[in-house]
Amino acid sequence: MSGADLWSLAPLIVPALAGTLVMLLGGFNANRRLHHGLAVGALAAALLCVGMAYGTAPRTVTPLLIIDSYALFFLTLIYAATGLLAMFARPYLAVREKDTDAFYALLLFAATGMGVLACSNHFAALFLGLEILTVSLYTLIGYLREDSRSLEAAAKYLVLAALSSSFLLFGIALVYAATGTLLLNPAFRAIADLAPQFGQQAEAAWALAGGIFLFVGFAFKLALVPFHMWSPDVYQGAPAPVTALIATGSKGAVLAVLLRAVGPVGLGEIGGAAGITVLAVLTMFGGNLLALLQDDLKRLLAYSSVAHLGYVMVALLAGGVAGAQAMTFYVLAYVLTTLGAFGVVTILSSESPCEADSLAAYRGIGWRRPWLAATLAVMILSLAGIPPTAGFLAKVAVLGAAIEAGRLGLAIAMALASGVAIYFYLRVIVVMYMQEEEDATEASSLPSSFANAVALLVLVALVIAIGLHPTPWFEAVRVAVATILPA
Amino acid sequence: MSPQILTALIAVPLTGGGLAVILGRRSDDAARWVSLLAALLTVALAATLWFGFQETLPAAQGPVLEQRISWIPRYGIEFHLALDGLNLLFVILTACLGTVAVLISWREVTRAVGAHYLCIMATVAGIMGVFLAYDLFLFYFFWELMLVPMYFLIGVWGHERRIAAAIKFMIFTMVSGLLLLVAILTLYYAHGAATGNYTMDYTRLLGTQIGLSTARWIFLGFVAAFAVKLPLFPLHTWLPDAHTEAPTAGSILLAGLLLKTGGYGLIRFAVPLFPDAAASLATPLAVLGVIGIIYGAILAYSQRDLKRMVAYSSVSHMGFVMLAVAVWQITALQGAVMQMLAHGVATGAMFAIAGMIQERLHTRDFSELGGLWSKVPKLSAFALLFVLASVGLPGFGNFVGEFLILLGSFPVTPMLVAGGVLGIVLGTIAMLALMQRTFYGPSRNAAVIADLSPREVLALGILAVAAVVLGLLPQPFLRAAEPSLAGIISQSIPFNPADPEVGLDVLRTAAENTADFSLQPPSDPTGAEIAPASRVPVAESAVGLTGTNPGVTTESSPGSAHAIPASARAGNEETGS
Amino acid sequence: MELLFFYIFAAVILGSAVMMVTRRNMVHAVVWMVITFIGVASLYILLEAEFLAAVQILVYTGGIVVLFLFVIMLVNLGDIYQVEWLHRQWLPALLLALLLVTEIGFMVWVGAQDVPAAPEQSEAILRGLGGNVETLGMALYTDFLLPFEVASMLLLVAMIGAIYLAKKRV
Repeated sequence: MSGADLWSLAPLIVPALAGTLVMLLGGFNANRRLHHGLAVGALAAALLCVGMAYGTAPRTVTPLLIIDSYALFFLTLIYAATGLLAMFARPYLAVREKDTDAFYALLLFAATGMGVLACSNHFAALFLGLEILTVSLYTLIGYLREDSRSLEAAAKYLVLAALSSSFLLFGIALVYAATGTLLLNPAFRAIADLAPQFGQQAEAAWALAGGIFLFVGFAFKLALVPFHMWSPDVYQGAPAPVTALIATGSKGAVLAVLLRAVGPVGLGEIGGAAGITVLAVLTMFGGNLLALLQDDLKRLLAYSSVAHLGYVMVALLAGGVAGAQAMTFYVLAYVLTTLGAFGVVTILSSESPCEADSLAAYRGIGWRRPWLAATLAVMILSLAGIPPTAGFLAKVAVLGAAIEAGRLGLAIAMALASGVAIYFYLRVIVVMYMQEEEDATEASSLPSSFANAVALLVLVALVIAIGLHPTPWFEAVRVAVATILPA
Repeated sequence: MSPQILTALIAVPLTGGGLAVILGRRSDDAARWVSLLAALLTVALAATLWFGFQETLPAAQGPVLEQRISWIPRYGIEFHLALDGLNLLFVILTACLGTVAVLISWREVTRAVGAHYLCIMATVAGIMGVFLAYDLFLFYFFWELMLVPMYFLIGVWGHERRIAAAIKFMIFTMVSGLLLLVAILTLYYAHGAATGNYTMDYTRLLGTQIGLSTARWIFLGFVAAFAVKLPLFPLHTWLPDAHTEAPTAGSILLAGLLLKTGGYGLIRFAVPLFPDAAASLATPLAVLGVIGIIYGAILAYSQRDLKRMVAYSSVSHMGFVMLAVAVWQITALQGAVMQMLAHGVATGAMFAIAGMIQERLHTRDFSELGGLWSKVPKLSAFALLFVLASVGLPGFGNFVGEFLILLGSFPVTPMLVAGGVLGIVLGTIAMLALMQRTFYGPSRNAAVIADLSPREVLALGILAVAAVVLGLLPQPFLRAAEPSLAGIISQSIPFNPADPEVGLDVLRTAAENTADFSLQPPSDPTGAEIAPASRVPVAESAVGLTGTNPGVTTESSPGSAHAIPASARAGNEETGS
Repeated sequence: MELLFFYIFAAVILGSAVMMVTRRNMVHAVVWMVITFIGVASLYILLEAEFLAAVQILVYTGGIVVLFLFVIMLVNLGDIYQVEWLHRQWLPALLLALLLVTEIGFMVWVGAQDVPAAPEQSEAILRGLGGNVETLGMALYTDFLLPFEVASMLLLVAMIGAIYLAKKRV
């Protein structure tokens, strides 16, 4: 490894070092502002390093990691998301927990893990990145030690994430046995070559079994139906900023590596298209139908992100350059939107130690807290895919990719599933705006922290800007995808 | 005239709404005045267009004013607005009803006034966009965009069961809208794959060659969205709830404008883009339209709620539009446009009156109404006027519309026209019953109530004048729409007349065979003056796009049949064989 | 000869694993687990992976089992003995287990035909590289230096988490 390699790795090294620093500082200094500032600053610095790494991209650092503009695109998204939720976390933790050094340290390590995932070119890096992320999440989910729901969620996540990791490992082992390589793309290409020989050659059976185990492992992490059981409980129990991390960064990172591994080969080639189509349809309808029954905003958003991952699977199934672009664009829109929604939940939860997650807590906030409510409303409209928001264009891109690939049935299924979803998204808006008389006496309309107000404003502006003028964003996505899937 | 005026038609109401929210934080009156100002400015812009294009409109088959800016080049999407005779009429209607909606909610709304006006003005802007868009994606963008403020309007400022009504409205329209989106994208990719030119531009997508069975599915996707809005018979169930629970301004915008977007979409997009599919499905659509006419009238009679009754009468009236679209013949389409304009005015006014009664008596239930004539003579006189307009008394626009639709449809499908006439009779009974139950008979309410204020007289007066003008002087409106409709018809001749599935269709063939007969009534002196030359380029471009055989070129002239009826007849005989 | 030993070790592993999960006394269960681990280590020796065998004994039988025993002795286990032996889910569990067995059996059946049976070859490669442990060490500190570091971070993360969750609230 050379010095230049280290420079390319700077986007991964910075958060890791900062995490260690925060941990060490925590031993001497209980200044919460300092930990917070370090974490946010480190992520900003990491973003700067991402910008610099564009100069040397693409660069393969050891066989394991590749720093190309695809990886850098996702690194930007992941670090920005993590940085924003670190900002949201400060007032939230202030009313709940005195020790915050471990929180920020683990957040930075989780960011590193996600970064490794986004850059990984090799099963070893994939597994290590995933484990760093998951192990950090175990503690982050259970961070509110006094809250039994938080601990329950952590325990559930621990068991299921460990299970899914073992699936993943077993899958990796089988794939290695069959193909003799641990590099992502060659391995999947080899699976694609072996798949048609199923029944004639032992390796084909292993490769196929390995592929299935791998996909089950991914499906657990992404919470696709029927592997979604953990997600509502964990979303509800985890502290709101951590829920945001699970919903945005961790999903984004896993999707990044999934697309890098599968995209250039195509799901259809690997021979799993039929099964994954069923899974995608189940996920879209399952997530949306179950969300209809929820009275808790965090659970509702959990099921809604289950459904959104189903839409992402539609893009993955569509395949090709258009599918990969649609998928990446969808992830971008989904991450920004979900972050905004959980940002509002976090800010409302940081006014008292009790979590603002039941829908009843949002009754009438449209008139009491117009700015926060308007933010949440924009995010909900974006999740529902209504113009002029990013979510709308993302949905158009995915539907378009599916139709272009000739998968009209899948596109219609997606349209109908999003039709079901309208109902529960509207319920949130109904609760906020339509269920209580205006109460103008409470005039504290802005969030308590100025930085958070700015952060939310930026997210709203981005979501609407992407909805109105998507061309630069499409271009960024095109450039990113071109490095893994040359047109 | 500068094409930016088209953008201004959308931007002015939107800006007005935004200012209303900002100023509304200080004072409610400021919000009201700024919205009124924006609405009046929109009317002024629309009037400028109307008078500015008086000369050019009758001669132009295509758009007279166009604005296009590249928007999302990756998908070939443009910000493309265009004005022709057809949508100009709807633009004027939108501007006028927007003003009325602002005036009517002046005193009714006291809660979150600024936000209320933002919702009204945003709805108006969205509807403007729907009428003006010439890019399918842009059209869909506005189509969805106008729903959101309307949803808030119903859900926040509506009556007792507003939330259920708002959600029902949104789900019906959004689900059908998503089908429309899938249909648009399918068309987009089919066109792109066939020509290599990936574009959402309406004029370029016209004439896309798609297999009949595929085209039928895509067409149904379009129809799903438009039929929900129209509303067509089995898809109408959202309408009574939404209209009844909406605040007065919301009801006016819904009945007066939102329903019209459905009819407009059918005429502008659904049929011209898929003429074959439309022809093959014309019969069921026409039957559903007539069922709607009769069913709506019967249900209107049996309602106990004033607003519900008017809402069901809308279902009945809009059934005529479906009939006209299914017949697809210029007289009937002229009638459909008139019907939509007149219905927008008359029903908008009926909802305004219902709102005024509700404001005064806090009820819309017939069991608590009655004998209002003696208490509020001015209001009652207006009500009588609009009831008579609604039932289609000669002298009002509704009469012109219904008459033309029936006239145009009769040669094609006399049975269905008979059904439509039956519907008119039933509708008349319903509306007269409304008058009887509300304004005549003994008074069942002791409350002392005030008659119309000058502001209310102004709002209703605008509509009354409009209703009478449409009835007594329909010629300018018919003349404005005629060339555009003729152009649309000439572009929507089935491409494959030899296809037995299309050729055998009874409705369709009959319509073409009788084209020159039924064209007589609306053709006026100016019609004869329309130089055939002005139409030739369109016919040629249609040929260029579709590569149709020369037989169809002559056949595409039924749109201008009275100029060359002989050749048209020759073409039709070819079709019939 | 090798096959005979394989079957003996396999029987030991399976037998002790069954014993382990059926014991009511936790300490007994852990002792059976030790035997399972030793059996696995013996299999590694059969596969000529001496280093892995040594690590298996050092880490699992040495470290982890001792930790388990600590935990069992530190935590009051009174309640555990009340737990039902068979849960209500035994039927679905049995079905799924049967399914898994069939699947693995099928895989083995399909795969048994042409499993590469050429240990001499890999032996030769290993010897050329300078033996088992050396090869591993070279790979770990050259090509795989980065993941080695990253793995250490993984342990750090786990440690931070454990300490945070366990420590008293100050």
